This record gives sequence, C-alpha cells and structure tokens, in this order.
Amino acid sequence: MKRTITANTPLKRTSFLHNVSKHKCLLLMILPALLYYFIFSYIPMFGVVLAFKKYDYALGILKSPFAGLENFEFFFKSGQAWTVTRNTFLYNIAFIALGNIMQLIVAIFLTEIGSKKVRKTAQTCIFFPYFISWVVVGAIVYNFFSFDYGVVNNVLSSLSIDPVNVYSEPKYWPFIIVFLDIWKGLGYGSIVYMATITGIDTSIYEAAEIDGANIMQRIWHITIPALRSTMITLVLLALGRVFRGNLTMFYSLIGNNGLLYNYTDVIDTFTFRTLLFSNDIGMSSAVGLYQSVLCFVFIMLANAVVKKIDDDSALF
Amino acid sequence: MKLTKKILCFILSAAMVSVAGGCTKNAGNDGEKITKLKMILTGDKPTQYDAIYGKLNEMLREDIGAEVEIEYYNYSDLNQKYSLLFSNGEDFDIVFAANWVNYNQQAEKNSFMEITDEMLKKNAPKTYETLTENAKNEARVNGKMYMIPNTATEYDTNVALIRGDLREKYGMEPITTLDDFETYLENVANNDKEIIPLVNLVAVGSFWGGYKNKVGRIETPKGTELIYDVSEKKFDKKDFQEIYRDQVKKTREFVDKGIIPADIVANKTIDNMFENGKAATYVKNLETCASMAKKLRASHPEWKIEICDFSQGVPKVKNPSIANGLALNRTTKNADKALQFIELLRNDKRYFDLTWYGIEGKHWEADGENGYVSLNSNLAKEERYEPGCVWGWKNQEMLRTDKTDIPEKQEILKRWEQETVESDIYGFVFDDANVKTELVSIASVASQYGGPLYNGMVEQSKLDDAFKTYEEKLTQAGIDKVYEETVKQYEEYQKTLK
Amino acid sequence: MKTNKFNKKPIEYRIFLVVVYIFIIAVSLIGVLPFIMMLSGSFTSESYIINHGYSLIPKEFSVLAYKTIFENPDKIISAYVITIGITVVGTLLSLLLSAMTAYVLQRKDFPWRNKLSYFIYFTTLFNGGLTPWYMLMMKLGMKNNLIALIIPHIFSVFNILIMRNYMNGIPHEITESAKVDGANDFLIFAKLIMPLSKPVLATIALFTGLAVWNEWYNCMLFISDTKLYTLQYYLYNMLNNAAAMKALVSGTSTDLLASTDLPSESTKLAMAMIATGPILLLYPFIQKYFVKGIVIGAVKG
Repeated sequence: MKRTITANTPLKRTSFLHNVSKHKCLLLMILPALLYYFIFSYIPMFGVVLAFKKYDYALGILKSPFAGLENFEFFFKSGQAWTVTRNTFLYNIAFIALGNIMQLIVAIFLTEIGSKKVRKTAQTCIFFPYFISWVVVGAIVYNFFSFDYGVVNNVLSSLSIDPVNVYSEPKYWPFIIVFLDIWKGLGYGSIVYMATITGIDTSIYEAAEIDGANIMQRIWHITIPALRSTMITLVLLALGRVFRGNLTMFYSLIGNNGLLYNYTDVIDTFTFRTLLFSNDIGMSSAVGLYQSVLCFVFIMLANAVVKKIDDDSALF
Repeated sequence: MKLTKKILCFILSAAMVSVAGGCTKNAGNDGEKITKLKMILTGDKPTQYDAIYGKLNEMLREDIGAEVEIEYYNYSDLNQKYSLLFSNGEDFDIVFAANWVNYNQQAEKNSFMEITDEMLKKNAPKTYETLTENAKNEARVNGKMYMIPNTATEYDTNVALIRGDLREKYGMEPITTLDDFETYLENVANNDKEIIPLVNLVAVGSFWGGYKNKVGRIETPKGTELIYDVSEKKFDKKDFQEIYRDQVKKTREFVDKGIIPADIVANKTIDNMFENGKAATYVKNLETCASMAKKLRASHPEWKIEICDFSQGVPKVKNPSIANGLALNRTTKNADKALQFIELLRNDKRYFDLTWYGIEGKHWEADGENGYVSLNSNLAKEERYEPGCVWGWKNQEMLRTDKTDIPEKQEILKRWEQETVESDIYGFVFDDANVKTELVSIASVASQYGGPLYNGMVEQSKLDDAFKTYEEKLTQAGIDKVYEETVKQYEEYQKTLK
Repeated sequence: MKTNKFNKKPIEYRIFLVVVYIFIIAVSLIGVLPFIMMLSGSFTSESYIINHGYSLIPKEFSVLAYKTIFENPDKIISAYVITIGITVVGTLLSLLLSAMTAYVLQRKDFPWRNKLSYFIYFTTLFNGGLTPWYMLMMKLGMKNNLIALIIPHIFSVFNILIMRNYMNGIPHEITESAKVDGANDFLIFAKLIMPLSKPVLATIALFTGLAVWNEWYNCMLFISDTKLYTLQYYLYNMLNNAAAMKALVSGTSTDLLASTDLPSESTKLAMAMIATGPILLLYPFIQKYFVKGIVIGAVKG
C-alpha cells in the first residue's frame, strides 16, 4: 500500500492541486476556523516549554534557563499525585456517565409531554441551575447541610435521628458533588439531545405506532439509535477533559476543609492551593502538561475503540 | 441571501473595530514635556478618583512636569494578574508591591528595577533619609533593593470586640483576662442559643496559642510551618510544639462546649455575623476592630461594644516594612520621574493629605497638627472618599489620627509601642531555591492534616493519633530539611549583620 | 379534547406518561427551588439571612440590596450595554463561522475533513497555558479592547462538532441535486443547509449567547477600564473580592472595612439576579425551535 503511494507521487501532487481547485469554495469557508486555531491555539502552544524552564521575566519564555524536570518534582513528590489524579478521573467519569444518561432521559421525556406550556415551563425550570454561580451554590449547600441550623439536620432531629456533620464526613461528598454537577448541567446538556430528537422524522414514529410498537419499543428502537452518534460525540468530547477538574466548583464547595481532601481533592484544586504562595508559572505549566498528556493518551484510546465499532461516530 | 450576510458581517466587524478604536487611549499632545506616569495599585478604584487625582495631576505638572494615571487591580484576580503583568513587558512605571503579593518571589524573577542609593539620593532625598537600614534590609532581595517600603508603625496583633450588653446581662465585670473572656463565651453558649459565641478561629490561635504564653512568636518564613521566637532568636517546628497542641485542644474544647460551631470552616458569612447580631465576638487586627466598633457604636449603641486587648506584656515586633510599598517596573523609561513622584507622595504633606484623606474642607478637616476629622459620614455615598490602596506610601511622619476614631485605639497603640522590641527577623529573606519541592509538600500536608486540627474538627479522643500522623506526614514532606536550611541561612544572615 | 386523546392511547402509554410527568415535575422543582431561594434572598433583610439562612419566601422583606446596587446606576447600565453588545455580535459571528466550518467538515467529498477535524480537535487537548496566550493577545492589541471578549467564543470545538453531527443527518441528496443544478458550495450552505439546521442553530446560538453573556474571565485579563466591564465581571468581583482580600491581607494591619466595599449577602444575590435576568428571557425565544418534527416537515414541503 505504502509503496504504491510513493510510486505515484507526481500523480498525487496533481491530484492535490486538483482537489484544491475543486474544493476552493469549501476551503475558503473553512479558512477562518483554520486561521483562528492556528493563531490563537497553535502559536501559544509553544508555551509548553515553560514546563521545563525556570521562568525569568527579564529573559522571557524562550531565553529563560532550562530546569529539566524540576518543575514536575513538587507534584510527584507531594505524595498526593496519585490520589488527586484518581479523584479527578473518577469524578469526571461519574459526571460524564450519569450526566449524559440523565440528560438523555430528560430530553426524551420532555419531548413526550404534549402540553406546550408544561413542556416549556419544565424546560426552563430544569435550566435554572445553570445560571446559579458555584459560589452561590456553595452557600445554598451550606444552608442545607449546616450542622446547627441546616435543613437536613432540622429534618433529622424532627425524626429524632442524630444530626450529621456533613462537613467532617468525607464519605457523603462524592454523592453531593456528582449530584450537583448533574443538576447544574442537566438543562444545558439535554438541549443538544432535544435538538437532535427534533430532527427525527415523525413519520417513522407514526409507522411504528401503526405496526403496534409500544412506547418503550419506539424509544428503544427509534429515538436512542437516532441519538447515538450525538451521544458518542458528547461523551468523547467530555473524555478529552477527563483529567481536568472544575476548580471553581470544587473550591466553592469544599474550600479549605482538609478533612474532606482524600475524597474531594482534584488535580486543579491541589495545584491551586499548593502554588498559591509561590505562584510559579513553570510549576503550574508542568501540571498542565501532565494533564494534557494524560487526556491525550486517554482520548486516543477512546477514539480508537469507537472507530472500531462505529467509524462514523469517531471524532477524527 | 449571501450578500445580506456579507453586509451584515461587514457592519458587525466595522462596529467592533470602531468600538475598539474608541477604547484605546489617545495620547495627548498638549505640553510636550509632560511625562505620563502609569501606576498600578490593588483594590477598587476610589469613587472620587477623578476629583482627587485630577487635582494631584495639577500639582504634579507644576512640580515635576508629570502626570499620573492609576490602574486598579481587583483583589479577586490579583494573584493571577500580578504575575502576568510582568510577563509581557507591559507599559507601566510604578507598581504596588508587598510581601503578601509575593514581593520576594517576584523580585527573584526579575520583575522590578533595582532602586539604588544613588537613584534615591538624586530623586528622592527625603525618602532616602527616612528609610532606616533595617527597612532597606527588609526590602533587599539577593542584596538588591527593589521597592520603597512604607515607613509606618504597624502591628498584626489581634484584639477582640465583645457585646457589653451581654456581659452586663451575665453580671460580669469588664473583661480583662483570657479567663474572663472564656467565661463570657461560655455564658453566651449557655444563655443565648441564637447567638454564636465565637466565629473567628484566629482568636484561639492568637490569644490562647500566643498571647497567653507571653512569648512573641512569628510564623516565618511563609509556608514553612516554622515559627520564630522573638526573644530567643531561634526557629522551631511549629506543629511539634506543646503550645500549639494546647491551642488545638482548646479549639476542640470550644467546639464541644458549643462555643465554636462544628462546621465553622465551611461558613462563609462569619465576618458579617457580629454586626448582624449573630455572633458575640469579633476578632481581627486593631485597625479593623476599631473601625467596626466605631460603626456599631453609631448604629447599635445598645450593644455597648467593648474592645479587649489580651496581648498585654507580650513582646511585639512591628510589621515588616515590606508589608506595603512601591516598586518600579523593570522596563520603565521614567525611573527618575517615578521616584520624584513617590518622593512627593510620601513626604509632601499636600500630596499625602490629598491621597490619604481627600479634599480638605470636603472630605476632612484638620484638627491640630497631626489630627483630622473625617467628614465622609456627612456626604452622599458617591461623594465620599475611600482612599483604597494608598498604603504603598504610608509614612508615619505624615499620618494624621482620626479624631472620630474610638478613644481606645490610641490607648492600645501607645501601650503596644512600649511593648515593642527590636528584631531583625524581617530583614531575613529566605531563599527557597533548595527546598521548593519540600515547601509544596509541606503546604499540602498542612492544609490536609493541619487544617482539620486547627479548625477543631478532630475529636478530643482522636487528637493524639492525629498529632502523630501530622508529625509523620510533615517529616515525610521534608520539614527537617527546610528547618536546617532555614537555620543555616539565618546564621549566615546574622553574620552579615555584624 | 385532550383527555379524550389521552384515553384513546394504550394503557402502557398512559402509565408511561404518568412516570414522565412525575419525573419531570420532580426535576423541575429541584431546578427551580434554589433559584427561588436566591430571588427571595435578594429581597430579604441582611440580618435575617445571616441569622437564619435563605428561605423560599422572604421572611423580612427588604429592597435595600437593589437600592444599594442602583444607587449608582451608570455602572450597571453601561455593563448591560457592553454585555448585550458583545453577546449579539459574538453570537451572530460565531454562528455563521462555526456553521460554515461544520458544514465543510461533514462534507463526505471534502478530502481533508478528517485531518482538519483533528487539527481543530487537538487544540482542546494541549494548550500553552495562560501566559503565552496572554502575551499573544496583548501583542494583538487586546488591552481594553472589546474584541478580546468575543474572540475566545467565536469557535468552540464542542459547537462545531454538534453542528457537524446534525448536518450529517440532513440527507446528502439535497447537496447532490443542488450541485447538479449548478449551485456553488456556499450557496448550498446558505440557502439549503442553514434553513434546515434551525434547531441546531438555535441550540448553538443559545450556547454561544450564554458563553459570551457569562464572560468574566477575559474581562478580568484584558479590561481595566471600568466603563467596559461586563455584568458577570461585576458579579464575579462582588462575590469574590472581599473574600480574596481577606485571604491576602490577613496577618497584616490593614483595615478590612475601609479598604474595600464589603457587599452584604443579599446584595450579592441581587447582583446575581440582575446579571442573569435578561438572558433568561432569551431562553423561551429559542425554545420555539425545539418543536418536534419541524425539520422533516420542511424538507418534505
């Protein structure tokens, strides 16, 4: 195969030029995107060298002296590298899996609601959490779980159950955090699925109904397959960030509560906290690069798996 | 269709460009000789900025042929923006500098221009005279001075505000000792279920962990978990000391007694509780407590706010002069003018009064040589002058005392001055190059294992195990290496002094 | 009429509908209650919030928070103008450019579609970090330039891929037959594909609109002129400034009360309401595009 290509090089070049002229209109249409990504993403990408440098403002990025792997040391010698990497990964997997399932269910259910008014109202209500900033969410959560006057402990004490101090019990937090993340993204995420369902030809449903398919069969055999490639795309996109944690969320909910860290510390909160004083650009670049490499490896694997099963749904 | 889109697109981009064009600064051509200085400060832009700094620029044009424009960096993003500021060779001349915005680390990365004695003698002779050798020492990084530190007497000692009405209700005499204070807290816990006795955890650290033992201890170098004993002039590993274990035990005891809420670490409204009647105490530095007391004596006279100082007899060290100061941008082309400007700000009464207190007659009135009366409370909110970040040119000789302040403030300050001891500890700049990794590990261990201890979240029965774990983790993180490095560098520093 | 229709449906469908309604109502309540708490909190007196926390109905009604914010309305009004301006311009620009990109990337006959998709996708994995990007933007003159608030939102890999996916579902015969008629690619895109993509365009418009509306990060980085602040940056500062300052200057002798404006809890909530209100109005407007069956009907017609 390779040999044939090399043998046909001249032919290939003409076919390249031929392709360019044939598709010049499409090329022009995609040009803005290519320029954009080249300028705003690829040019600054050279900044990854900062991870290996001892940054000096007077010398700039390129001329600063090399530091070898020194910038990585703090992270791997902290004894927390494994814990925070594991937490980041597991939280994201939970967010992606449960989040997408919930979004899917909400989208399917919403489209089944006949009354326009109910549907629109419900859709708006589900969307609301998206607008509440994490700082405010943190305050509302505290209102719920506060030891002395929180809603939860009020209910527990009225049932004569001992109150719990959620803020000193790490075991509750994975559930709280996963719940909140799903809650906040539910309205936003289900919109993509709703838009896709909207695109399904209604005559297929009608035909199925005439054929005697019940509602579950219609959802299972028509709606879900139609949503499959959207779902795979969304999951793959999310998997590309599986080693990056949402700093704002974790910080607003957990703050400086060290007691919860074993269950709630992610790479981003760890770096934020430990580099707060030194503010070292090299070290934070090093952690950023570590996350990028992990994400890269993971997404290549995930994409390869998808490609094997369903070539059309793969990202690239 | 295509055409309309194209037109629309064109209009949009044209609009964007024109909006953008309108925003870029127009360099004025009037008066060729006027040097435009740009200064970067922290915090909010004062509401009266145009009035105050417009007037300042009038004087400045006349005095040194310069004008200044100030850009304010909000606290919420200060950390991030401050380091970006220098990465880009951005165009500014003067910048606020302080140990709490990483002065030493920034200086090591070549952010600032060195300020030599010659530069000072030439452009800022009065400043040169007022800077003590100790202050200069504190501002030196690797032997070079990069900031003009402030020269004011400040203390970070904490005091407490309590509710006099509650104290009287419990039939207590005025509170003078920590034992009285503890009784007061217990009384609140037992008698007023709606009020939280203590929300500022720092109280236990300062009062029981510090002042009770009558020793002056400073947590330095930052982030090392080491502590410096002022009288004995030596370092200790803080968390291994009995005093700090007692502090942890006390904190937990308070949690068990209902004096401190069990989930205090997660509560983000603690600093608003006292003024809203939810907390029975307020523990902060003297300046903040005095402000709060003044505010509440006006709005809630029935609370009979009292101020308590438990630090009597404790040797005190003045805050380092690099707690606030001004530095020059490494790439500034106007170093001379910038220094002349700083000289005026610091040492010319007209400039100092204007920037610190506002317009005389409108915002304040002089009261004696060194006093003033603030007129802010008579003005509408947008007419008031809150100076914001003017600390960089704070100068004890220029400061006026506010006659509307609570009278206790000056009494306490006078007492503290008598208890002040000289120390050269702040001139000691720790070079963390050899222990960077260890420091990050220590910071991580301290927040994960130390935090719960100091926040009173570990049960009394599990404390001994927790102390042991914490010590082990600190040892693993390399605290011994940091300790040795600190002691070694400190000894070398001591030699340079002699 | 409606009940009749309902009764005609088979029993298992009726059970299904009951489940659907219960589920959707539950999810809606969980979504809307905290928002009501926020709204109610913004109308509650400060001392009540500090002493008792939030509640669903304002127990001690007060409009002081809004009064405080609108004491100086110029700032808020200018922030509104800026935010609405960048949202409209940013969304339209992004919609056109990303739809074009998505269309090209889904054309099966476009030989470089896989490579270019990867070229675009790769940028989500690796980035040079904040410093180099900041330096680049500053070199391009983005300081105090509103374009800096739009640029980061013009293209998003997520949006492009969602659109690409949707356009994949549009029958290819449409493109083929138009080509036979001699239409060029841009015309096919503008006249045929765009109208057929209404649901996804509405979705992406909403997403981009929200992203630009919520813009505070780039405002923080590039905008120092307070006249150009966005609403969300005001909100961000109000929520974080005091806490950040306390963390920074704790351990110094700084007077915390005098040095920065410490907003009350109710003011923070009121500001949050002011910053999100208008964008909420956009949502029902977008919703009308999510009506089942609209697309295919149009194709057939």
